[in-house]
Amino acid sequence: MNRTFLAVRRRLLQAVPVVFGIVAIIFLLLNLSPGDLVDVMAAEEQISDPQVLEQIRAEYGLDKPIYVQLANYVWNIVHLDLGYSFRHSQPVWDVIVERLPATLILMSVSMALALFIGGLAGVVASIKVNTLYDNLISVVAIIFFAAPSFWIGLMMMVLFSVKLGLLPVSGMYTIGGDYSLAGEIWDVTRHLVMPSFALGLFYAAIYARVMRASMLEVSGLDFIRTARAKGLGEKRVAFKHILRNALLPVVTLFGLQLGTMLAGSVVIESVFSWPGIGTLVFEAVLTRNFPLVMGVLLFGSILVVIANLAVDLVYMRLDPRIELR
Amino acid sequence: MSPLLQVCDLTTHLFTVEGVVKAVEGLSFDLDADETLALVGESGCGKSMTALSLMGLVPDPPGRIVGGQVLLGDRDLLQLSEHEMQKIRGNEIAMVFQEPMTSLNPVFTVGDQIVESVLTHRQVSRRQARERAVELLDLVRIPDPRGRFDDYPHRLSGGMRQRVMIAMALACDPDVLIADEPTTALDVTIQAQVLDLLGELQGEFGMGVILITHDLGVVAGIADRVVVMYAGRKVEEAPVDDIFASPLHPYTQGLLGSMPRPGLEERLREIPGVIPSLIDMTPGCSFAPRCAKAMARCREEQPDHATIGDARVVACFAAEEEVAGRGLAVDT
Amino acid sequence: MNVTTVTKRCTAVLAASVFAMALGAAPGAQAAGPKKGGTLVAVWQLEPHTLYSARGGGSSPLIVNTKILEKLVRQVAIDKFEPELASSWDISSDYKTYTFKLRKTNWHDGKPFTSADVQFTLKDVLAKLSSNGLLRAIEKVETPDAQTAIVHFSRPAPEYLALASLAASQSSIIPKHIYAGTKYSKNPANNAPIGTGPFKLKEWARGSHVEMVRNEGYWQKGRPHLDRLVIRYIRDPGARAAAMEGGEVLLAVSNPFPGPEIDRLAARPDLVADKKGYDTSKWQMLMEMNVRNPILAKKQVRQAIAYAIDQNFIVDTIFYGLGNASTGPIPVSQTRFYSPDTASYPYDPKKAGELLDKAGYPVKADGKRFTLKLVASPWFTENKKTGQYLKQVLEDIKIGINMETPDRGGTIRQIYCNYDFDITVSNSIASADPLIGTTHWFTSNGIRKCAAFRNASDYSNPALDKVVDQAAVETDPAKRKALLAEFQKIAMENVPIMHLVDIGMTNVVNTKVHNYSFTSQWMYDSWKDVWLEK
Ligand SMILES: Nc1ncnc2c1ncn2[C@@H]1O[C@H](COP(=O)(O)OP(=O)(O)OP(=O)(O)O)[C@@H](O)[C@H]1O
Ligand SMILES: [Mg+2]
Repeated sequence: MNRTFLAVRRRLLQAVPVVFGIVAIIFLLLNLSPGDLVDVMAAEEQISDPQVLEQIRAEYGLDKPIYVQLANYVWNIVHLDLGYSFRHSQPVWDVIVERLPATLILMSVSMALALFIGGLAGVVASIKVNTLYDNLISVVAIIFFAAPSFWIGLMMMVLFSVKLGLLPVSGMYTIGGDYSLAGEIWDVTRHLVMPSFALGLFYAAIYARVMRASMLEVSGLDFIRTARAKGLGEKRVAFKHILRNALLPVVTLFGLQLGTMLAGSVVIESVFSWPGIGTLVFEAVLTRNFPLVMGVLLFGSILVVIANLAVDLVYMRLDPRIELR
Repeated sequence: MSPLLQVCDLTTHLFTVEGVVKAVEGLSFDLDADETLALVGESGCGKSMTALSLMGLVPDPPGRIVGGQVLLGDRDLLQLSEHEMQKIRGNEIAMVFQEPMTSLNPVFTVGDQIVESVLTHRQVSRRQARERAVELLDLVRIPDPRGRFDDYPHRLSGGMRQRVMIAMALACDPDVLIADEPTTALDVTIQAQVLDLLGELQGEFGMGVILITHDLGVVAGIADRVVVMYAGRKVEEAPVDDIFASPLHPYTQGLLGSMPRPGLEERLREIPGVIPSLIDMTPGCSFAPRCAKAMARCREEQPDHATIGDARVVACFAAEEEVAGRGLAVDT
Repeated sequence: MNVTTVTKRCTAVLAASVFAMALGAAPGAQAAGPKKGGTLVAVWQLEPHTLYSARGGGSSPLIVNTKILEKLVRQVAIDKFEPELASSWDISSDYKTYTFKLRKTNWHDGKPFTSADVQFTLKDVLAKLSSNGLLRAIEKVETPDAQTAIVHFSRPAPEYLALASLAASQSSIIPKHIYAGTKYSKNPANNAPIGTGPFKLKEWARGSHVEMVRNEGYWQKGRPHLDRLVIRYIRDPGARAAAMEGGEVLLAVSNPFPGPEIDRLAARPDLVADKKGYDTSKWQMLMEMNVRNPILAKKQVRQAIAYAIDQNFIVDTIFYGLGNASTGPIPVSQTRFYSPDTASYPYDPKKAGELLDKAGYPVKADGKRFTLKLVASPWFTENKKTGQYLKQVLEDIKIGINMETPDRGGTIRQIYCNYDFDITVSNSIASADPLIGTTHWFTSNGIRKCAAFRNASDYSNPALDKVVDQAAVETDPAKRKALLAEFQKIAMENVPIMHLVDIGMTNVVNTKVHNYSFTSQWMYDSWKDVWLEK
């Protein structure tokens, strides 16, 4: 375990230059896009005085050459200062921290759902391979894979909220609802159902297919025959011997997809008015609010680094042949 | 005394897209307790398929046992349900596989895998199962069995793994142990050690052992009787000494000829030709195309198993004639 | 038309009675009297970046802060103003001095509202930051006592223009004790405004909604009717519709859905589509033509392009009939200033071709006369579709079109900063008075680099400038109307900007909601008169 700890620490240290690299690249890419925050604000605020625009640009530090801006930004990051969102009249840190929990809740629940539903469907499909169950699971998986998640979200909304009235349409909690802690958790859970499924089902579809293929592949391996030769029942063979090995590619995929899920949550958050990071960053890009975009992406890349490390640790637990380096 | 295991007319086919592979065709043999029977033949002749048929583990699809009987005591294993068969596998019949490198589950410790075998068939506590596992590891001569118990398979050498496989197979004192080419994948010195071990354990446990091999050299020291298979069929059966002293079937003779023997400096003779496809079998003897002694009859008719003396069986017209010529009784 | 309510003296009593009449005629006001209480949840598409910005900040902040902050006067119809924070006002005979009597009331934090707040807002904030020329002409504000504010303009301020400017959504009075001496753009109160209005901010749950509650100390007894007002932010139109249908949201203003969706929703028994409340805040779609391009510098070419466009097709097909073809920079519905006496360009592609031939741009060997860069802005979804339509019809008359559709930030930069376009599809909003937001699209002093939604065409015409300058100071309403008619005439004769569509504005409202849409910029009204059926 101590070795693991050292390896984790080394990995985190190695991630630091990577994150800074990401910061620099994103910073430059963002600055390649036409227009800046001041343009957008000038339009919104109907500022007609070019001098005022120059003043504001100077105030925001946008008048300096890009490399100076980048150096300033990195300098600030080193001092754990993510900068100031002039648009929100708040430090970037505060803006993000306010919205981060919602996204984390949505993402972790979606991921859990995706893993559970997709994994289970894949296992069932592989056990019942080439039967009606298998085909049914394949068809459903294809539908959820192909259908855009916002569309699934809207359809769920129409069905479960408008037609059946079972679930709240959107948002994260009932506005003005005055609940106890338990009531509040229940309220958020009800709001969470549709967005997490809308986001999770796409990934569940992927996991189902990968899981099925992986289960089938593993079930043809020699050690599965050994397990059967011991006299183990099919269920035990499937759930102990095959599943444990078949999980490995799914876990790998999971690690790779955390980043894309962050992107997918932008869409779902916008459809369900989920007050997370996604809608924030969308708006920030449109308004060229770069400190905020950078802040979110920085958070995002740190999140992905940590999540990948966690995935590696899980992987290591699942497969003793792998060691953290 | 009736034999421990009786295989009668076992026929296992593989229904593939290319056609029906007749992997095992009308195979019969007996196995006594305390006896080691060697099943010998070139690669692809259906040895493993025979073993899997006995275990009820023929991969389905594409395989299916289409006929015959496998009598263990008075039960026909082929008539048992999957659930009943599970109680027999690993318990009354156990098997050691060809590839030690891939036959252990990489994500569980070797100890746990042996414990699982014990717990599957024995009503014992985990602790007791653990003790039994350590005992078994010790039995198969693994040094520091307690230390090895928590090792994962990838940390062990091939020979060690095969020992673990054997320990696992012995976990429940099986009556029949099938060892499918247990040493093929190992290097020569280890091969000898593992074979010696098997021999000793066979005596200790008093099991009937079916030793599958394509290498007649392996057979000499360890087997009591030999069954030679060719293209899914038994072509000759005899006590081990008779096989080496006077092989009857031209195929057996060919096998012996291709076997390096100490002291014999002559060049090895290969059996000419290739193993026939098991899909489109010609009428007549399947070895005929490769056989130096083949006659016209051999290409038309499948020779029956002829019993020679009280312990030998051969399926070959030429051999029958030869034996008859020597004045021995041929009983077909 | 005889303007009855815009008088030199207007008392609270009179206003109240006029207002009562307005109430009676308002849609949704049923026989049963208003009920007190309830929560109105309205929906808006874009969450504001801040709830108050001294410069206005666009519709998202305004729709919220107009419920919390108040103006001196309230515009209830094109020709109707009423007292809000000012209980009455006097205008000097030279129209340079406006004397406001102020109400006795308190800010939401308990501090008294006084003339110092008016002085601060008008002189220190609006006169410095506003884009409205008249407000910038405020010279000083005297405060002889706490309840009197005397506003001095540096030039005559036509009454209608002055009142409309002070009633504009951006002209809310803000508390001096909170803002004085601070940097306005960084004041924390921008995100938690403190006002005198009928609603107090309770919570801004970022990413979700703004919740406001009744101001118990509001100066007008019996107002507001609502206990609570919530503005929810739902970006996706489908999700907005679902929220309306599910009854989670009762009110959606300012074209919340695409045309067919509005019809579908309005067909439900519990929802109505309402088209009132935008007489002095109407959006138009327009096409700017960049006269820096020597081809477009020719009037004939611009006219030819105008002839090539079938505005009714745009209205019918792209706007699903919700709107009408514009005839110029002042929408038809702005009855006070609208003039039909202008050049018009009925759809006539043949004539367009002839004009281009005459202007010296015959079809060349490559099958084109010349090629233009079209930038379609993204503020409205219809813009891009209209851009595609323009590309088609202009290619029909053999003008090559390269269409670009950058995003919000990119468009602003490209059109209004880099002037990197030949023609555009963009939008303007027609306020009560053309001098507030319309004329600077055409005048020479409207040309300001990087200042968006002004004269990006680089069109400059001394005759037009002169007419607008005169209208800025002409205090006789009839003469002023004539000047602005002349402005429309010159603008349409030269068409540097072709206004395409007066966009029809629709609100979708639950039948539980009453007494809405009766002012001419109701979206930015305080909604103190709205009430809910239980
Ligand atoms: N899954 C399968 N599908 C199709 N054919 C198969 C399959 N498994 C085995 N066979 C065929 O069945 C025949 C018998 O195979 P089997 O594995 O029993 O041979 P073997 O005698 O054990 O050979 P080896 O010495 O190589 O292990 C071979 O011809 C082989 O090609
Ligand atoms: Mg084999």
